Amino acid sequence: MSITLYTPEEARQRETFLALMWALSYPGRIQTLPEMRSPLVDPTLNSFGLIAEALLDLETSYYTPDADLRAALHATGARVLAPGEAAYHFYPAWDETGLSQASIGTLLRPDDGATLIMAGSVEGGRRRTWRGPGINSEIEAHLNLPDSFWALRAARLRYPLGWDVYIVDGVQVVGLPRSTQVE
Amino acid sequence: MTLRELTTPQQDYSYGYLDTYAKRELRRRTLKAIAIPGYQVPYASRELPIARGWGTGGLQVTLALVGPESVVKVIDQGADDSVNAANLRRFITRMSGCGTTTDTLQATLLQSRHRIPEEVMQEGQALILQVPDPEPLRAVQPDISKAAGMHADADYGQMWLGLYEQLVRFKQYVQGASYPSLVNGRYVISPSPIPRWDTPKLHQAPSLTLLSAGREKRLYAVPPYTEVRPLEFSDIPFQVEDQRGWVCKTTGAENKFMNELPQADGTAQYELSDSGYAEKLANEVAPGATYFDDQGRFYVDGFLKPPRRPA
Repeated sequence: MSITLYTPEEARQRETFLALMWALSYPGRIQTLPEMRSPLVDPTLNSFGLIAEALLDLETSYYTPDADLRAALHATGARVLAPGEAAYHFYPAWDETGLSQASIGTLLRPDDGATLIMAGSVEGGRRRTWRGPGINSEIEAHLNLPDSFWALRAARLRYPLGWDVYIVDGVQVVGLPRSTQVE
Repeated sequence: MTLRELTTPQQDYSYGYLDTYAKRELRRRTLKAIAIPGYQVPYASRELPIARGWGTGGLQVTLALVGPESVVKVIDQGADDSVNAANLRRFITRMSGCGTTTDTLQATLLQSRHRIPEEVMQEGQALILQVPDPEPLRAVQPDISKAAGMHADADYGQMWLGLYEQLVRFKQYVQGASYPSLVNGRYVISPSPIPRWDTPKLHQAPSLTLLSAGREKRLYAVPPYTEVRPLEFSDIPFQVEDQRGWVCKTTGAENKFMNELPQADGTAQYELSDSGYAEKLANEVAPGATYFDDQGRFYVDGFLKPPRRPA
């Protein structure tokens, strides 16, 4: 029997997934994406491309308001859908219109709630206290995101319904699952 | 460009056995499971070279996570050396090139059938439990569509009724394994057939726990530092197995989960169920902190209450 090869593509997708998994397991903690160029998009959107490559294929769907990124993500085989139907949302820039329509799932299928991948700064924002699964007691996070994001999240979140968010800052990523309470 | 440059080394299997689409789907579902603690996420559950019911759920999750730098421990009822555990470990290693260990604290991925080790697992470790039946409502609602509706409504009244009936008939909770537990105050889970002894270990654990049922095609998760409460009435607390006075015949350990070994003369001897922990004691290697200390006290103060029975 031949050996199984840990190819660069396999390594890149697995390491990206692990960064996302630990980001969601320990909300608020900064995880690092692999520092490898994705073939999908230009360097400025490298991290978005890595995440898309790790999660998207023809079985799922995405939405992004960015035309260049939308074209690049076609390579994954995933379908482009309207924001209210897409499973994965990619926001290189703030876009309240799309975000306000993102699915929060249903009580029968809360996992239909959208996953949002958003550009943002993991530091420099107003201090907020996070509590919930993955957090030992509580932590203080300083994500720099528009206030309207927090207002929209508070308005839409009806646990177990809600979005699961990754904030991407270069090669750094922070997870914010729907189970996290933010004050 | 030559033909030789275009060829790649022969590869009979994808890395980690599963094809890219299977791994990607498992990874997507795993992330959703972590985001909604206790919710059973459906997934496709691919064919594997072992039969369903022999750990295919846990194996698929392990194969989606494992890499060459991983250190994998596989246990079956606490034992590293059982046939099932040894074969799964060998398969995972062959398909990924990962390292293996019997030391709980050295493992990055720990796949288990029916036990959580005695030593406290740490941040960054993942415990993958094999689950034969993920549905805690099975006994009260055999229709899975209706059971899904009950989870959606957090309608767990019949579970409480079942516990009440146990108290009426037996004056104690009699469910031994798969003790139903409330995760993050929302979803009741079957924590796989781990003994009651292990159920409290899920509460506020620093490590990530992934539970996967290959035959039933569902996986769910208990993220680190998550509230996991065994169902109990406020005046009749949940209890772990009473094994006071049981002493391991090999190591002399007490107040750890034991296997009971019936003897020909009608008596019984006992040995530690966790073979990795027993190996450390036998080799006089200092073990890590344990969930239950040598006096039987659980490491989270006040979580387990003194026993009380209904009058």
